[in-house]
Amino acid sequence: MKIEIIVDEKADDLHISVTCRHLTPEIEKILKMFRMMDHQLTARKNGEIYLLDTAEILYIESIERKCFVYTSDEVYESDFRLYELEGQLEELGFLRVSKSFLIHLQKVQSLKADINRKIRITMSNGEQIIASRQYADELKKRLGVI
Amino acid sequence: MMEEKRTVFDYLAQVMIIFGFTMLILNIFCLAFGSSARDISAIFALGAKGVPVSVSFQFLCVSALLTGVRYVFFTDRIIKKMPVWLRCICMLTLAVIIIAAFIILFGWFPVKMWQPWLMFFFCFGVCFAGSCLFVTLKEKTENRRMEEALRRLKETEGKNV
Repeated sequence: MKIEIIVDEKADDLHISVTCRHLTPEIEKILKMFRMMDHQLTARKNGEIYLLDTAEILYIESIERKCFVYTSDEVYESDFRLYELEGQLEELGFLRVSKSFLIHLQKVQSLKADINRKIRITMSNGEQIIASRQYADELKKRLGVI
Repeated sequence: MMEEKRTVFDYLAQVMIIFGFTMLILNIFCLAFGSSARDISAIFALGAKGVPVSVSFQFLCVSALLTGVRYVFFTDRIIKKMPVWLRCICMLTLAVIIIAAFIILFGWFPVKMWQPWLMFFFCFGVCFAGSCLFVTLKEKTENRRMEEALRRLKETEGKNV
């Protein structure tokens, strides 16, 4: 595999070109990661591939190693693991709040302290997610309240 | 990041916090009322000298039991879904039952006298109401701070994303 990087101060935009004999799952995964840099997430629904704008996503849930992406009215499946999405989407305003949930902070409607130092998160569609104790501290740090 | 697990040492620390605070209050009571109450209460058997060792161990048992009850109702390890108000009522009821059982078993005060019972329920009620008020105020302040911080974060990150 050859990697060519051209630094051109006159370039208008980032240009990524991939040349391959055929698309492999690994190459597709790399392409999906590049799309995330462009605030887009590739996800599947009923066998079709969708390009989701990350601003539309409310939260992502991991169930038995599968990741489900929730928008206000649809649910999609992602090929990425939750930790991979966490790494890619952190800079876009997403935060891990428990072992299974990654939430979009822009889509949080309200936060409420719950028993045992947990936080009850109400999303903009009214659904509630519990931030576990240790992740609740991370959420508070992100909010700047501790 | 892994979920933080509570160990037996966290449980023991909680027991010691309740026990230490109770013993401090009891010793203050001993200094204040010990001499006059030594004949009617096992707690004040040594008068103003302090709380007897046997009573200290009884209070250690009460602290351990109350911590156990708190573990049952104020974590979701055993009871997964229960409203907070119901958890509080269950916790309060069991705490009263446990303490009343120790009062009767170990003669902390004469069971047939109504004045000590009135005093017990008054003190217990004041402490419980005080702690509820403290927790409620703390929770309200924390919720308000989080809401304000969330609004600020949405404004700043919304501009950047």
